[in-house]
Amino acid sequence: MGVDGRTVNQSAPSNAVLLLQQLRNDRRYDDLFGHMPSHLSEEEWVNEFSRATLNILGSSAAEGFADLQKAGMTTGNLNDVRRKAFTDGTWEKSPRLREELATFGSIIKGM
Amino acid sequence: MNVQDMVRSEVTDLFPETININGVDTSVEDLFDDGEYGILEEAWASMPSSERSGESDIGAVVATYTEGLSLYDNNREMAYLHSFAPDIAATLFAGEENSLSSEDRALLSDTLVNLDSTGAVSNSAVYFALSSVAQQEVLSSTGETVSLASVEDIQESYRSIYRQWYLKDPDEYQISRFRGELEKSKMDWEED
Repeated sequence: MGVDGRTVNQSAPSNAVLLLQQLRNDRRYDDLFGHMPSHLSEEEWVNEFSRATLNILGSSAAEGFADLQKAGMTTGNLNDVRRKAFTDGTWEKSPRLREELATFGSIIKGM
Repeated sequence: MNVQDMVRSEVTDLFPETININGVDTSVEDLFDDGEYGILEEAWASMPSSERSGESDIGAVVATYTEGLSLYDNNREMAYLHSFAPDIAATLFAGEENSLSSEDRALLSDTLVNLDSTGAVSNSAVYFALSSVAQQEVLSSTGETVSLASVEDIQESYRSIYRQWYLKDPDEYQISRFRGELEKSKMDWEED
């Protein structure tokens, strides 16, 4: 008997299954996870692009971090994280990328 | 990355960045550099037993963790659970959660608390699924169960995992829709 005197004749609904269903039914799911390989979990997919973005910007608090990460997840191409940083102006707000460009520029000048 | 590096990376993630050994904060990365887990073994042994779930040999933990990664498709939460409670991990993997006893669920809960303290993998859907099982209570001699997790707790988990997956908070409509589905699911179950 259950705590309220009712006979328990089946297991409780799985909250975990319901939660995953809801997350995967989101309208943005295909955009961000459509290129995810089947051997990865969603967390691993997110972490892969989060690490790539961190490597480029140097800090997860950097302006534009989420937009760059989304850009990579959308195409499934890690290179697109970097590409977007230099095409949408994010690099101008990033000390690390500005320094990188400056270094690159000085190398070019010295050639 | 070779297999050895992968295991090293996985295991170091399970510890805080530094472990205090005899008053000295020592990097876990450095602890691995002796190659045989010797110093890490010492650190492991110096941890309170409540944090080690009865294990005293880090080498054994590393071995079973590696085995768990292989058994459970490189899933870190399941590998961690396999390190400390292999029978529970196997039972859950077989989809037989209703056969877990109250003691099993208590051990699962303790293991998740330890895993949560590492900060390595606690914000994941698999972690949430394991937590849900841990929060269930056996109600009858047939092993049937009912969830004790509150709607608020589950909603907070949804919000947290949503934020991780979609890099933004769910809006009020999405929260409301999820809550509605959750309550409908509970009502359907209660009516059966």
